Amino acid sequence: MKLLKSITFFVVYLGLTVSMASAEELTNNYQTCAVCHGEKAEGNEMLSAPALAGLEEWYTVRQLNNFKKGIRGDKSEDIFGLQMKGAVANLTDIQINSLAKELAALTPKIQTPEIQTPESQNTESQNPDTPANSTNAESGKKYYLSNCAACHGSKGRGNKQLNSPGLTIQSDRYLIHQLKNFSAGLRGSHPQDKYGKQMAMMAKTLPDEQAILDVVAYIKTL
Amino acid sequence: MSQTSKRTTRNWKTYLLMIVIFAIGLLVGKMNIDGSATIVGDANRYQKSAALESTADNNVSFGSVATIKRRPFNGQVHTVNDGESIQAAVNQAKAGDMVKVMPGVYKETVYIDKDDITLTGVIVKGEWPVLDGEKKLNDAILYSGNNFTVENFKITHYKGNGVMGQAGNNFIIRNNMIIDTGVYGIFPEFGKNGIVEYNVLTGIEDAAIYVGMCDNIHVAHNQVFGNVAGIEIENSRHAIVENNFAHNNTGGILVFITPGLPIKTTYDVIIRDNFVIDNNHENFGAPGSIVAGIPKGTGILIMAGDEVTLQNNVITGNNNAGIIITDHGHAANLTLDPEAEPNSDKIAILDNVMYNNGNEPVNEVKALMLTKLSNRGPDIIRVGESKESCILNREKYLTFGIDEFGTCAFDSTYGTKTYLLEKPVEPRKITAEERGKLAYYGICAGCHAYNVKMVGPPTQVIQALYMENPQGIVDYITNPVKKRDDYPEMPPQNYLSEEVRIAAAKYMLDVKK
Ligand code: HEC
Repeated sequence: MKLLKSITFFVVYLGLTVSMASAEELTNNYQTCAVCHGEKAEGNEMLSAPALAGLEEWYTVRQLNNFKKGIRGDKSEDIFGLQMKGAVANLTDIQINSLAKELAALTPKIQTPEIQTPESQNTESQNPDTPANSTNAESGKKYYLSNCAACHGSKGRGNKQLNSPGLTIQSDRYLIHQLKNFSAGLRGSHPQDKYGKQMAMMAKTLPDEQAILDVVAYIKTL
Repeated sequence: MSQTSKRTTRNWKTYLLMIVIFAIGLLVGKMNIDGSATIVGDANRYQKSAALESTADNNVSFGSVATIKRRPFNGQVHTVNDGESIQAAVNQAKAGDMVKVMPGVYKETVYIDKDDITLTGVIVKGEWPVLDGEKKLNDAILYSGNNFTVENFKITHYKGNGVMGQAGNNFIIRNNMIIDTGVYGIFPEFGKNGIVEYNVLTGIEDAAIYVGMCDNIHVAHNQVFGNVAGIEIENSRHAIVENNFAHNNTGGILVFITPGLPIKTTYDVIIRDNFVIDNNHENFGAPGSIVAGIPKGTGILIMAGDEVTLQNNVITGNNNAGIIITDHGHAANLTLDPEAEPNSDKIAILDNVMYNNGNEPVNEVKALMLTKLSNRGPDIIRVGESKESCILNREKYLTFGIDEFGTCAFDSTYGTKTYLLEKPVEPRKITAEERGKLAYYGICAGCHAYNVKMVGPPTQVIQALYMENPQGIVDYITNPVKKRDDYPEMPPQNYLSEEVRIAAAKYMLDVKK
């Protein structure tokens, strides 16, 4: 599995480098990133790469620095985190800051939910983070509004004062994946990851996998 | 897919849904046992003693029968005139003193942490003393002392609370007008033995009268209108709510267990002789808060409360439903609390006057009523479990879900005049360890529940944000900054001593439920 994912990673890497030049709003700094995160920084489901377009500048800076210092992507089970850690190892502070600024200036592409509506529930899926069973945005709403919204906002737009990113620009799969990482201790368990630890603690308040799916289903209605 | 075929599918779905609903209806109909032959409850439940029963006036509860005895007054009187500070006078006062406030406008927060203080407004030719928060101050009156009386004030334009009790016992809050004060109008929290009477409250965005985590309470002769919730008895026991007029709120009278609070039960509540009329106000509660989940048009709402008896109320013109009996699972905006029993059990609906309710039921209620082939909302609706409940004269009302209620063995509550205590409760003895708990119960839990959004963010969230950092909490609550658009501001707690603040912070980080 791990091997397979790394292979896909490199195949796509090669495939995409050819068409790099068209990333217009973004400077050369971004070229390596585009391989996985897409030319318009819209993210790529296949590679579990989140959308970056419209991501808050301060959040991107913090995450890139965390990856660089090994505060994030520090667990061998977190394959994608490890990939990121490798990919940003050589970025300078200046590059990080200017990348974050460029990305924040882009208009986010609103990710259409794949698993939100009852109609789409029966579509078979191969991704392990996508549920085959049903999700319930209504029950997710209760969790979201009581706990999550306290930091990410009732509309999911994030809150800089609380160091909490917006959630609406991300795909449901990515959100599910990260919630699982947080609750399994693959993210937010490094002693220096202050805000990650906060999120990990909150992710663990979701009692089970169904609750994670439900809460994400609700986020996708925002 | 073409436009037309899409529409057909949708129609199809609607039909399917209707069929399903009817099928459920049949099923519900089949499963429903007619409980009317079962007699439920103890016939003597509200007949406390034979001696009481024999007195002639005992069958009525009219007039003010409930009182808390005060010691004969022999303290000093401190008079406050327009332009002077009420707080300064309170600071001067000793236990047993009275602070008299003359007509005028007072722009301050008054904090009373001494026992036996009476704060009384003097009304002269219709001129009241006014406490005006100018939409800047948070609270008008905060008390933590025991045996506190506050009366005759007009309180307006505060952002937080009109009168908030923080663990004070034997309180009397009467004859105040509270207008547009933000979150709670009158809010005794974690107090025992108290009266809330003859107050008029309007324009409150949560509960106008909010009895939270209290015991032995009497709420009578109040008028509440134009609030989200009129009167709310929450996580409290032994309470009587009588002779009140609740009109044009989103919900008139509520009896709740709110999950996530440190005290987990609500039981032994009598609601009688109230007018609960036209509670159809648009819900203007803070998004995501518990009261924001109350459907407008709700007369009386019982959620998870036990042993609640309704008698002789006039419940009319509530467009969603007259009485709703429900559990935590069916309530919007709530996460479950494993330690709180989620059902409303032992509900008794004695004789009440109900008509003209349910003119515009919310969709969920409408769907249920369809199964009864009615497109009106009900006088009484029960969703979720309700064991050992009973009703009298059920044939008078349009109902849903109460067929299996038994017939009550008692028909009156008047044998029980009051749950107030014969003797005032002794002041609490507070050890150092208990200080944090008391502050958390008495103050913080008024706005912070464990895993539910009340007024402030859930305690669980705060625990994540301030892991191992109680001093961080102290710094924040001493001088809070606004952090969240969709929450109000947190009022500063700098009136509390440093010692109490750190104790509360530590308790907040440790509390597990
Ligand atoms: C009148 C309601 C109210 C009371 C009482 C109250 N709080 Fe709050 N609290 C709030 C609100 C509202 C917020 C959110 C403020 C914001 O985000 O701007 C909040 C936020 C907080 C925060 C979070 C700060 C952050 O960094 O996000 C802490 C910590 C806190 N309160 C502690 C306490 C403690 C301890 C007490 C008891 C001594 C208490 N609160 C009593 C309403 C209240």
